[in-house]
Amino acid sequence: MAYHQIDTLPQPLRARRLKDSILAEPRYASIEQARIVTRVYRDNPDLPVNLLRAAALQESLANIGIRIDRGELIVGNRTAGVRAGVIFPESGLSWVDREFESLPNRPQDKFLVHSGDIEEFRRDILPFWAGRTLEDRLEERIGLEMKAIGKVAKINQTDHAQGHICPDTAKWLALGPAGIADEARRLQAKHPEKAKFYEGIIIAMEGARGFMRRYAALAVRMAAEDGDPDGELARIAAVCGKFADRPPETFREAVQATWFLYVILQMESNASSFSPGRLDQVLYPYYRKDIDSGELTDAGALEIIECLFLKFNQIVYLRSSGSARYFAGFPIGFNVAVGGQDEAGRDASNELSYLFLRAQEHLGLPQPNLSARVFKDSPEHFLTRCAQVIGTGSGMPQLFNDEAVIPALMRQGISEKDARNYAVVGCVELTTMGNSLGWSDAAMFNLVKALELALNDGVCLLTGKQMGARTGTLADHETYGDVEIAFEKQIDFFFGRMIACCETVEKAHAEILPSPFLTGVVNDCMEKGMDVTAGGAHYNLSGIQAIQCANIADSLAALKALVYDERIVDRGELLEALRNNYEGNEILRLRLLNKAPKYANDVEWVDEIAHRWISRFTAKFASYRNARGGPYHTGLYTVSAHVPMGQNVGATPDGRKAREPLADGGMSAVYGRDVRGPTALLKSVSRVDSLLGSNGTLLNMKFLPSLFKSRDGIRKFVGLIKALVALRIIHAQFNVVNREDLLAAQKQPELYRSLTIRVAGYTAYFTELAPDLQQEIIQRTSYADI
Amino acid sequence: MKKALVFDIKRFGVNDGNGIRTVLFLKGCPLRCRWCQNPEGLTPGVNVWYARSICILCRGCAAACPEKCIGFDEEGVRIDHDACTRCGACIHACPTGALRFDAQEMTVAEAMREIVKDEVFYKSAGGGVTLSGGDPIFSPGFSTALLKACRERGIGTAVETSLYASPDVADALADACDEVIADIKLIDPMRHKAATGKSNAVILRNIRRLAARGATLRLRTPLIPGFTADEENIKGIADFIASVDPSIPYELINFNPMCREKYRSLRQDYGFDRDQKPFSPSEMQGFKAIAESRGLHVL
Repeated sequence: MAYHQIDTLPQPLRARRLKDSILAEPRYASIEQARIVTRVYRDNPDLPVNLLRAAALQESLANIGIRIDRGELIVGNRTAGVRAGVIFPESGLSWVDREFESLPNRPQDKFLVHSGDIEEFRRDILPFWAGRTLEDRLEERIGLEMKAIGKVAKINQTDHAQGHICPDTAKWLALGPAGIADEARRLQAKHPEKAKFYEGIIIAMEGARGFMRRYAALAVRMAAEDGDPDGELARIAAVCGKFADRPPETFREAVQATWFLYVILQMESNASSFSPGRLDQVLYPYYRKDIDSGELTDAGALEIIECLFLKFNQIVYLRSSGSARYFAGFPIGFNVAVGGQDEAGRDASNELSYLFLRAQEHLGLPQPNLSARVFKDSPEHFLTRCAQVIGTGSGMPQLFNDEAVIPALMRQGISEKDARNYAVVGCVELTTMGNSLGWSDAAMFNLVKALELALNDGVCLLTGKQMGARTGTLADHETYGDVEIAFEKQIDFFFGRMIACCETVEKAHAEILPSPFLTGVVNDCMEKGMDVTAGGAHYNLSGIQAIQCANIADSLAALKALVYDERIVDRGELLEALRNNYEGNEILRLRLLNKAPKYANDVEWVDEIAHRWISRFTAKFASYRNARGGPYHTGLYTVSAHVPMGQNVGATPDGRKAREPLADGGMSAVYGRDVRGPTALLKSVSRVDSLLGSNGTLLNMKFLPSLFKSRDGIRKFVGLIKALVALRIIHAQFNVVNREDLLAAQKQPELYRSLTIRVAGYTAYFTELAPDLQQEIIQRTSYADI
Repeated sequence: MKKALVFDIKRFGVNDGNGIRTVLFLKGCPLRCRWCQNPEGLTPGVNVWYARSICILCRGCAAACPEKCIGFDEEGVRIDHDACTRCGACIHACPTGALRFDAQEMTVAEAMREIVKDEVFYKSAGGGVTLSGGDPIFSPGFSTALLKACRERGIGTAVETSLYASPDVADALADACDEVIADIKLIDPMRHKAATGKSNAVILRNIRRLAARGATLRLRTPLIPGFTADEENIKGIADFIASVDPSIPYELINFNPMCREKYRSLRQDYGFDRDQKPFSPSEMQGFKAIAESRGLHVL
């Protein structure tokens, strides 16, 4: 095998140049597509919504500004500018109206604004959409209820189209848009009663073909106008033109075709995360054929892959300032998974796995969100390469453990074959490839807030409002068991209401945002004749996040140990202190913080508390099905939502003050509390049964670079990975950074523009994070000796 | 029942032998090196340890102390260790953890309970337990018994030791270990005695004999400004190792001034200036080159 040769391939000069120019180009908010979509909707008031959406997509594909940059091998974007923040009217505009002026200056994820856009938006776009968007209709239907429960159960997917989907890229490559349109026509002839459904898919696919032809024509025109000495533009024209009509045959054609799929999906939905998934598997036949025929070298393949990776960084997601706080760094989550096992359980890593790792090592950019699947039979060399690439400090690849993921997915009714072929969407959410709408972020349930209510008779400590059930105060709870009973009652008080809201949201998506293009590339929608938003996919799960293991364990452990077992803290005094945010009782706060054992330190009974509550929470899903007929399941991740969610929670019995962030990640310790090092942390994490985390879990760990500087250090890190596999931990990701880097980056951001860092779950440019998030990362525990 | 005073247990040790290790630090040492980075490992018995940096001066400790042996000065809490009965009332009262016992008496079984916690990591990374200190050779009965118990369970074993002991004690310890990590701090016997309180003759003899017996050795020199970090000393040490067996891995350990805070807690003088920095990578490279020029395998 030529793996070792791949590992030392130099970075293609082309990729380095393109990277610099992408990073140098300013980001703008764009109303270009909103203008087109608004026109289509206004001109066609009588079309059924799926055809309206298809027509809007087709018109956008036909009219949006396009651009080819010199030196690009892989072309295509959803706007002419790179990293534009696309305003997408169907899902919701109220926040744009509120925040348009502040986009260039807001603390997180800034975008420049073209002059005249704001006026045009308010005059021609905004008024038309009043009352028509997903956001407006949900506000009308469940706005008050979402507000009433929102501090505990935050309902998501209310103002943007559904993403977090891994479409069937292999099918797209095998058939191309022409082939899928033909398939739709055949099915249409067979099922005339569903003619309109298939019509939408045909329109969308024809729009896609036109889009590719436009790129071919642009390349021809540029060559004619400015010359094409090396024939690169002619090559681009040939590749794009061909795919409009026929499936790709070469590796380069397949990569270009793959990229078009993701551009068009984003144009249709502007959704967070469409994931290519296991590209090392999907693209392998094309790579193999070209290598065998001598048409492609590994260096040539690497160049194409790096060009694709750069493309993944050209589409970003414009979010409201509130949402940007939850998901900082405008991640759009092109998640690529390498390695892992095949459908028969054998090692699936191949040359492309190593080429992807090499590309990441060279570029170190936030996208793709590169994930490595590891399992008991992962080759030593694969693990070593993962460790080395992690050691470069881009926070990637993040690791997913087949030994934990596959059984967890199977427990949700997923077949063994599909489970073994799992991929990752968004940050850490688990999915099957090409046949699932996982709705992985239906809601986030703030268990810590529910515990707060359980200690204060359902009254919010921050506002004094009656928010939850009247279950008595801490002073009324005679035993630790009483606390647990009250806690469970508070969870139940919100649980069913949350599910009802989620159901309304899912139905509204089917009604307002059917997605004909996406429907064409997610199985079994075509066969069923059903849109993906309505339940056309083979698997229809919904994920709800339980927030947050560490805070729950720490708070309940402090109550159990210091209040009820050792009785050194008085219930009434503690209740008073919680109500006063520990003002005037710092000694008590410190005692709770320092004298009660904490999660993530390998203290079995404390970790068991986390397990017990995640288990109880998950069990409650058993009596519900989602609007598409599938099961709900649990995720244990917050990405960066631990900061805003913490702001909703008053003082907690673990010594945390009101409004302070919750633990980051999902499985991580509260910052600085995992004082026994990474092995103890991993032991603790493993005590929360990974079968419960089938929607995805997130564990952040941070190591200083010294560990990765020697071969011996790399070997030790590989050993740590193997232990993580044996401990059946679903996920971990690793920051490798030193403090000085971060402090310097805060002072001189322009010198550190490409410095990337993990913000719980994905990678972002450090210098593009808000100062308080930067500060927090600096404060996180660092492992390894100096 | 063999017992020892364990003053720290460090998990995920990656600089104390092969793989991922749990390092047990045992109290007591035959030497008194002027630069000792674990001075808390030298005091006899169990004492109350005070960490100024996390103390908030709430004075709860003084109020709780039945012996009234706690006072305050510019360095924070001052404990009269002679009057202290180790009752722990102050530790219990301390809300921050600034006061704690500086060691814990453990049996072999108790130590094993801690060690096996990371068994999965030893297995996956090829590590195990390392006894350090202080010096585990100062508690030979406990150390040897613990190492044997680890070995029976399939856990890798190593010691970090001065090797300042009688031949039979050194041999017994080495026989129970997969690796013996020993220091040669200074090659000149007089300088060694001046800096550590003992001559190095016993140490060098033990090294030579253990090498001949086939023990797996790793030798180290801590680079201490004004004591060990000079060309002549490194040359001499390297020549000695080359004469024993040049294939013995040799490691140069950089000066670590982070222990300054410990001396402050002990109210002892740390004999190095505040601005005394660790050696730079190029200086380290220079020392390394000396050893390598003698044909040594330098890590």
